[in-house]
Amino acid sequence: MTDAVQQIDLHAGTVHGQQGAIMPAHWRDFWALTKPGVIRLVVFTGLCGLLAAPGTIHPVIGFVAILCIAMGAGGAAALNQYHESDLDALMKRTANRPIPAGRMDREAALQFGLALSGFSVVIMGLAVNWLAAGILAFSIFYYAVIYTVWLKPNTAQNIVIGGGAGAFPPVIGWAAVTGDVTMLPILLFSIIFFWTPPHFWALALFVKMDYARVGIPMMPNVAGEKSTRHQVFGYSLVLLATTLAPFALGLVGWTYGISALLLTGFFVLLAARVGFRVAGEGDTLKPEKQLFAYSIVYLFMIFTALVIDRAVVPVIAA
Amino acid sequence: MTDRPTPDFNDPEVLAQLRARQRSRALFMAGILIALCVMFYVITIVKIGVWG
Repeated sequence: MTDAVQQIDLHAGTVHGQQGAIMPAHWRDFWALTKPGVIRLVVFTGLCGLLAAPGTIHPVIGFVAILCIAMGAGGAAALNQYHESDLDALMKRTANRPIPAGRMDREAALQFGLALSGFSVVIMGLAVNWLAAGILAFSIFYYAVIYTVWLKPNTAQNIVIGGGAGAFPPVIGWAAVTGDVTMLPILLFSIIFFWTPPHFWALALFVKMDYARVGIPMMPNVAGEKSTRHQVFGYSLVLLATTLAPFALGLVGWTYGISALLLTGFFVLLAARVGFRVAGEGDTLKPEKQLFAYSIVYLFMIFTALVIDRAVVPVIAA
Repeated sequence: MTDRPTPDFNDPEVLAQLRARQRSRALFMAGILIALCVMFYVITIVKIGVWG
């Protein structure tokens, strides 16, 4: 290990993150607490909502709006990890997070999460507008309380309803520019909302033992693999209809329409492969892994197509 | 249970690592505060319309 601090175990006294670390946490652990990988997607969809909105926003204020969305998402992620530290310690995928690994005190994570969340909402309200700040505050509450505390441990529909938490950023970005919420941002919300179940259940199909071990009622463990696979396919069809709706309603042009058809059509094909197969013992679950990987790329591409259609094509045409 | 031995803070090496950790956190916090000051300043300038 290159970090001298790690050469001597300075995080002693921690049992699955419950007793708290003796050393003050490294700033890199606070960074890890914000789930930077998730923030990347949140920032991107928020930025796309902002760019797709009609009207203009000063670049500095636009930057602040995106920064606030990122800080809010980071704060919510910290609160999520504060609440789930005991479960995280039991799952291979999450055991090395700062709290379960014993590198950070739970209280420090709580304070950091609350401060970051509160700060993001107040700055958004003061610098941008209070509608965007209100939606941001609700999205943090939705993720940290409704999803993490209530839905996730209690229902197999946790991902379906909880998907709303990750769907707010484009709405916030839009509201930052226009100060209101119209049909298109609601459809953008719906795209992420209906994208979430096939995305997460593809993951859950190949890490279901992790979830089963800690008693989280993920769909494959509750309804069984067959039902989950059918639902993955079913939601992909709903996603297809949702992504085509902006074009059908005349809110976007051909660039988006054709892109949405091709990108989501491929998504449905991958989902069909997952939806109608039976995985035996020793199966490498390649189709599930491919769907999960493509679903991430897909979201980036569909929102890129939207921005090109709404912000780039009109400029070129003019 | 994953109990680990408590570090000896009388050990100069451990103490030096503790100080290094505190220093890096302090510098990081200073960076954040300076960035916030600059951001608030720029937001204010934009809001009062100096840059249109």
